[in-house]
Amino acid sequence: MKLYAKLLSFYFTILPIALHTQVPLELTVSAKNFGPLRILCACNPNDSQKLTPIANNLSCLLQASHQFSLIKQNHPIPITKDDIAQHARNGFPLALFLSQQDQHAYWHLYDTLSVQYIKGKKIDTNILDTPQIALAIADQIWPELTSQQSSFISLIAACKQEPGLTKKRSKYSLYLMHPFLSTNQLKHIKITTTGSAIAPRWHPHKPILFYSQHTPTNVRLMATDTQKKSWVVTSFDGQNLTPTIARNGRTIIVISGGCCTKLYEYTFDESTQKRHFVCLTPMPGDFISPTFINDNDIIFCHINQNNGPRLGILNLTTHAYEWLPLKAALCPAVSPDGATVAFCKKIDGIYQLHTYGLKTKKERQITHGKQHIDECSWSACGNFLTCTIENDQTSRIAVINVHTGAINYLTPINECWAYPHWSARLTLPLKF
Amino acid sequence: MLRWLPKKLNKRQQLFFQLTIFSFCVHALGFAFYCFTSRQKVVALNMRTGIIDTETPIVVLPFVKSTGRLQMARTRRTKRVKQQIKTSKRITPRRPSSVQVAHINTPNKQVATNIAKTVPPVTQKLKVYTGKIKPVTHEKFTSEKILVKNIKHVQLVEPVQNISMAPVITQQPVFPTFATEKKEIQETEQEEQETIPNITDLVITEKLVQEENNPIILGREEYQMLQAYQSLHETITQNWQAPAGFQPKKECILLVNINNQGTVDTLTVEQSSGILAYDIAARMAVYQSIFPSELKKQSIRLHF
Repeated sequence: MKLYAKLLSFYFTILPIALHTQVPLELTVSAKNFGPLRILCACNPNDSQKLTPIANNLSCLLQASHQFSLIKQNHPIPITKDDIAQHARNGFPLALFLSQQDQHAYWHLYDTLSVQYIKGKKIDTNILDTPQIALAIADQIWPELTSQQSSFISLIAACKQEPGLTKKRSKYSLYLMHPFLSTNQLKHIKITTTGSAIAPRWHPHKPILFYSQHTPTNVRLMATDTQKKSWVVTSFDGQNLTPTIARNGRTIIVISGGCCTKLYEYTFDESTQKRHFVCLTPMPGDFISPTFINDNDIIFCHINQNNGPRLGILNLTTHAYEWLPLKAALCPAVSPDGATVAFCKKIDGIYQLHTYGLKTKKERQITHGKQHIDECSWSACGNFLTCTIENDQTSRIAVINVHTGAINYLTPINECWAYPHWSARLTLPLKF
Repeated sequence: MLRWLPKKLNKRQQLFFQLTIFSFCVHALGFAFYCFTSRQKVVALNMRTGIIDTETPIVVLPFVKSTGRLQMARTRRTKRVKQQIKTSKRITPRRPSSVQVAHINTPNKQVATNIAKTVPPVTQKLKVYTGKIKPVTHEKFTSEKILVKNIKHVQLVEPVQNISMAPVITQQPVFPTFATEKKEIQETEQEEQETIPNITDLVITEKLVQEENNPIILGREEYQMLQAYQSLHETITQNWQAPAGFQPKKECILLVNINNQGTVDTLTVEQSSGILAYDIAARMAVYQSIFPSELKKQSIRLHF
């Protein structure tokens, strides 16, 4: 009897549940249109005078990649959920509130669609000036929105052609510029050098800048840091250029002495307190533009006796060469994740920017313009490339979005700039 | 009544047991009847691989609710459909798209031809078939061998080029002199699915699957559902403007419950893509979309 009663009760409880459960319909959506996501940048009305310049710089930074659109308004910090939901009804799925109190600036990020608080922080304004406060805020917000580290706290080192002692002999001066802020917002920093400075290279994880300096006898390799100290790294006969440093500290330098340009590995023997330079590329031809892919492999550009360039990978352990199937490729630059190589290649007589996947073995052309592209360098986040775009008589430094191909020029059209190199993530305050 | 009952039960217990079994059977029948009659108007299908190719011609059967062809069309788009010929080996001939077929239930050939003339002018060509349709192959299919005999059902088949331009025949053909037979046609609507071998027992060979010009045969409910899905897909695609440059490693899956007004009632993020901006753009697209009326009070899972 009890068993029958249990069966009946089971039957009458499961049956209604089975009747009312519905399997949801499923649909896959693919994007056809791309557009920036709107973010409301609300400044506290009481502090609008101090916060408005910060908001202006912030909008330049977040809108640089064309993924976000920052709209500036004056609103107090929301108190109730209705205040936040109102912004969602106005078409802002994200809201960023800025405020200032004493010597600190505060930012709070809200998801207005679900009326949720995402994150907030305070920034000490004693140490930083207005543009660097915006850099700090943007650098903290970016990982929340994109799950990626930003490149806002980084600099591009480039050389500007300036008139020399005589009209015919001009020299190159070394400057540092921000990749996303204009000259009016963050002025270019000039690295004082006695002679002409070319081919700057950043240390991968220290705020040290290497560059090659012309002397009456040779082109020596110099280094400078944030304390404005400079020292000679190498001064061999010929040209000492473009050092590349791996994460484990392994260093390779390009030295041209005599007829050819070779790659040398620099080691320091602590027992004898002597420096050793070991030639890695004894084969004929010129080897230039080395870049570490990982701690054991470097990619370089080899120019043969017929002036034909090609890219190759050298394994430092086995000393084996692997030539990439890329014809007439120059100026290789490895992305921060080590998966992609950017280079310049001649297409229809014009050097264009390309990328090549080291694992996928796929090549993609980034630029399609009518101006030569030269000397590319990756950003710290891997989403941008900086390069030189040559006009008839001048050349400009530009930042190119790898995904969209959008080009943003950093230097004016009437000036001649060259040799850009993007630093890794630095620390605030930016001082050089 | 039940010989297998244990003999230790007294009469009262036996009576109670019998009543329980009887009520269980009644409820089971009622449940089966409820499941059969209260099916969802919109068939629940997993369309994760997307809508079928809109360039494929579609044939809509107005008297059939569903043919199951939509599911097959979807799998055909992504995988090869493995052929499985039934024991009856009924292979429909490959008819050209301009031919419509009408089956008219009449013993008289002259009457059948007169009825064929009364069919609406939408149909371009008409062929009259006999009662028990014998299986014919493509090679043997010729109009000379077709005879007029006892034909059971009326069926108008109109091929269409794409979904958006698909005119659906909603009007039944007119039979001015056969009013009684019209009732028989309506009463035997359920038997059509069993006695029309051309549609329900259609077997697509692997060669036909590979040919993209073969039309997909759908029932009216499937066609309505496909139209609703198509409009929903277009609406959400138009409203979704993802920020360029994001390459999420995972899909953003949203579960949306739709209210009576065709707007979002509740939205749940079942799986995040890992990028907040990407998820927010997807949610924005859903909130800005107006869902078709066929999907009211439904729940939809959207994969971005």
